[in-house]
Amino acid sequence: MLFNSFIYLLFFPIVCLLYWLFPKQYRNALLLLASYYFYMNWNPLYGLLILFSTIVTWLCALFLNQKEKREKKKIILFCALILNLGILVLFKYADFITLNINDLFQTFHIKWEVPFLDLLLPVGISFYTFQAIGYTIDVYKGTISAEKNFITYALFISFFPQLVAGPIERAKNLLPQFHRTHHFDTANFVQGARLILWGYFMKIVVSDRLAIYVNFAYGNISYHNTITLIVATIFFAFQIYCDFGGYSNIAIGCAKIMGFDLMANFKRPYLSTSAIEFWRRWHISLSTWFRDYVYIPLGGNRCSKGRNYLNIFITFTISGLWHGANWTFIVWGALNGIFQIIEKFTAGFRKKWADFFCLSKIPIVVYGFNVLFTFTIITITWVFFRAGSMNIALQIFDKLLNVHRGPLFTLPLQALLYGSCFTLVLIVSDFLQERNGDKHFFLENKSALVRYVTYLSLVIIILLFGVFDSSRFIYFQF
Amino acid sequence: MKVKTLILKFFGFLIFLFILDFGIGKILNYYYFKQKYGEYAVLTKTIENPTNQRIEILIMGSSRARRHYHPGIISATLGKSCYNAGYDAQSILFHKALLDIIEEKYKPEIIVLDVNMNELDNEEISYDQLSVLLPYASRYPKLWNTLLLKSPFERIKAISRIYPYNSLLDKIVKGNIIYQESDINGFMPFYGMYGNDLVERTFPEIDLDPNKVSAFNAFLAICREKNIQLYIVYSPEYVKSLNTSSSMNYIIETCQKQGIEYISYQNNESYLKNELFREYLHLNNVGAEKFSLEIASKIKEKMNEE
Repeated sequence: MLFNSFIYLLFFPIVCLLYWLFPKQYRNALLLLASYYFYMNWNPLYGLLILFSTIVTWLCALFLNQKEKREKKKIILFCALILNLGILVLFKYADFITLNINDLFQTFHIKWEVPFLDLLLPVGISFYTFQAIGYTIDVYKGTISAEKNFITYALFISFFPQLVAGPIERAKNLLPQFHRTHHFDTANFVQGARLILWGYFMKIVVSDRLAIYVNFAYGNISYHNTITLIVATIFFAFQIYCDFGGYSNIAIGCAKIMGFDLMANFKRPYLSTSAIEFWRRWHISLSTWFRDYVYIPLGGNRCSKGRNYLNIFITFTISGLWHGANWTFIVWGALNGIFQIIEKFTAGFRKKWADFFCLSKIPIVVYGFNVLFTFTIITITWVFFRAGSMNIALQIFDKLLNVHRGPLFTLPLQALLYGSCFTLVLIVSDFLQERNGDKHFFLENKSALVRYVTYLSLVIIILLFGVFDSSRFIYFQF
Repeated sequence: MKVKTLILKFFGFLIFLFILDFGIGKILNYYYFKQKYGEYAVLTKTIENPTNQRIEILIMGSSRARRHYHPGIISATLGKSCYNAGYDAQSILFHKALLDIIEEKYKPEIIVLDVNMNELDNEEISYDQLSVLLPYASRYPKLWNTLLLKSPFERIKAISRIYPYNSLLDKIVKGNIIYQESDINGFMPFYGMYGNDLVERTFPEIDLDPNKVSAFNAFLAICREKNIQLYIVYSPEYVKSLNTSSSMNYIIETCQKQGIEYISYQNNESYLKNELFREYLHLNNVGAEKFSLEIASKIKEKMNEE
């Protein structure tokens, strides 16, 4: 079930209403049932997979709690990781590994071909397995104690607002909320509804509109010229932000209405002044997951500079692989790591340079330049993210670097027109929110008139300019 | 804020929204059907034929139909009135729905259906594109049969008066107040020349969309039943196709079985010239004129043979 499907617009209010009407002791069970229904709506078999992951991590965590000896705990943790990562590898990476082995055999003229499994990738598998892994590691470390109630734990793994595309929640934040008794809170309702409304605007009006142009251009690279591909790549940068940021807003908003606080996932990432800052604002739940469970265990920055750079590189390359079983994602992740290493490496030099040219006297210019520069390098990496293969990515770079002249492709004129207009609205809104102490300038305005006009305008804009077709959320595939 | 106040405010908001939706929807409806120029004006003319214009030859198909067939040239060659009802990005689902309501209003003698390589492929976009029929659904309830293929909730969505005009605002404004390049009996040529090199393509064998196959067969059945002479045409493109798609194989086979004229310009050497194209799938005005003359002559030959 997609958040932007009509059926979800029926599903969520019904679940919400039942949630508040049900006796408190049955609410978690209701949410669990609703979550499994939500997930199994894609494919009933997916339910078995998430149930398996849930049972394995729940039992492992209980064993971890009982055991005192470190060696035994390590074995249990190892089993939990192997089983969870095993599911992920089997469904997500098996065919990618097979493809590369076969390519390697072919290179060495070995006439043997490993057969492909051709398994369908279950929606959101990377999200819930990472949430389960995070929980197990936390129990192993003693940060939290194991959850004894299976229903509560199963709900933690499958809570429908964040099940298929995050935010990847930490047990420390979300699990205690399932033990609390929630009372209907009007402030939460208003805040949640605002987030949902803004999320739908981002997804249906901006992202899906831009997607039309991007799909046209990236779907037929050989037919398009340099200017079209530049516009399409910039559009994709906003498309993916609004797609995933919009999804996150809807998820957080839905949870909020039911009284749950999920972590923020995006904080106006394209206003970042460096790649390092970008990753503090983009997909925050994943970045912090990798920080806590990969980067810090590798040594983080409490080591030599060289080792620190290697840790960054490894973390971001793995993060790339997490996004998809393709070399394009690995390169995308590695590039993001490299940009951060370069930024760290040149920090001293850049400071001296800024002092020498007295750049501190013109902060707005420096800010503007840094934002644009960061946006440019991040957008360049999106080419790898969007291209279906390394060959396509290289074809695009060839067209971008060796200018192919010609007019801008304007056949999807509405995508260009509406897409540009509403992207501009988004940029202005993000900019104002940045200046407004993280409060949405229009939706959280002090003036009730401004707020109500904004609510009405957003609904009318969605009805008038939204894309009401079968578009998918990009991050579901991960 | 108290729960009661929230509920009151929420329902107040919904009532206000309903009124606004109704008002804006009414305005959009009025101006939609008042359009003089543009694709929706052409679609309304095709469906409603308000001036009771005599249409003897009707061109149907996607954007390739709209941009490739010049009714003036076809009329002059065949001595029959011609109207181009091609519509961008539409598939056989749309053409069949259109024919369903057209045949109740007027009966063309000849229909030229322009098909493309993906005509019967299972593509979500074909269903999404059916939304252009939404403004007409309240006038022609028969259209719901096709619109419900898009989504079973389409009728519920259409409770919103704005929804049928989703994504149409700029076009409605243009169609009413801004003089734009007018159509020539539905024909809207492209101008400019394609700058890229000729590329090759192949089509994998795929399963066809059963809804589209059934719409295609129903289209042929209506023509047969109403005694409309049908020509199925594959118009030129600036691509070297190394094989024929599953869709086209089915269409060709069906035409052969049912004795329907099929005229193909796939890989036609005389059209593999970029100066005739705006981009690889669409002829420009020069190409369209050359093609219209040729196709009209071919139809004339076939008619004379009969």
